Amino acid sequence: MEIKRTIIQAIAVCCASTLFAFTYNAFSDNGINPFRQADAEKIAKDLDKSAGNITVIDLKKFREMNKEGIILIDARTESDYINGHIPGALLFDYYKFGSFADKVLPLIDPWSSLVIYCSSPTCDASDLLAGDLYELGYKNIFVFEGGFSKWKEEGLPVKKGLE
Amino acid sequence: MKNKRILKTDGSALKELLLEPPLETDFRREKSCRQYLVILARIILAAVFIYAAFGKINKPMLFSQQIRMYKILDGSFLLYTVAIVLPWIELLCGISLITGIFIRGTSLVLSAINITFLVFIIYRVLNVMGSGETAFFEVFFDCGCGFKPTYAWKKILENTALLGFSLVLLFSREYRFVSLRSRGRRQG
Repeated sequence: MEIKRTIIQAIAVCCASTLFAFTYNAFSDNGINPFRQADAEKIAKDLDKSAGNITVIDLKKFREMNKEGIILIDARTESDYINGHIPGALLFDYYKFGSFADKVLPLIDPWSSLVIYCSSPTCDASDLLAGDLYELGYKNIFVFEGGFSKWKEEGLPVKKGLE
Repeated sequence: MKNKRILKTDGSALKELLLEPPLETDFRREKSCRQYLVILARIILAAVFIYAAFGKINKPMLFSQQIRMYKILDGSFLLYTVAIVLPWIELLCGISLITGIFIRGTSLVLSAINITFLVFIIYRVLNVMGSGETAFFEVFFDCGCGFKPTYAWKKILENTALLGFSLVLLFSREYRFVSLRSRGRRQG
């Protein structure tokens, strides 16, 4: 009986927490949508493509484009950026969207090509940032899939500190 | 008053009284010692978990990013659900420990999540050691627990202590916050 009661109480505590958590999340300004998609290809599928697109690119394509004059955006955190980033990248920490949007977006022409990267092939900051910037009107968006880890693996130049 | 009543009865009750006391006081002392341990465990666990919960309850996005660094939950729905719900489980457990409501169930939940945290942290430490050739005592990270970044070995010690306290609560039979009050009825 004791064991049964303990388990029932434990389930009750978990259910109550879940209920409070999702209710709070729904009304909080900082709430997140648990169904948000973190895959740029999936995000791109749902877009209205008449105006532009989000394209996932690999390292080879990225290096070609990098020569042509694109705007490169680093979607990682500030400490990651200071520890090393791809030369010429602008810092735009996706997880502090509000504060960086005010600083960085006025610098970017809506018709320019943007390449976004984050830390690794599995990170999702770049995919999510791509989706949000597309909504804001930037139409030529590319996501560098390999991220900073791929860039570093290839032994390509890395710049430290803030630019 | 009590003594007077006993004196009035026959010798057997008196004999009983003389034989009983040492046994009973020993039992009581042991009992109160355990009760203090339980109270200590409740206060420490409640303080730690409520503090940890408030650190991340309003930052689910940042917290999900921190969980992602463990490289265990990569799928989005499960990850975001954990980031939303976990701080609330911690908060409710803390409140339960203070108020004494559902405290047995709470101690089961706390034991379970402390074991999970411990496994996750050790897994991550092994990961860091494997990838960067870092020595065990030099692994330094932000565990995403709601506290400042620290050395992993300290975090493992802390978590083991928290797990110990949760297990003390889970297997203890003394849940009363004030130990001298309302003898006989057991809460929980």
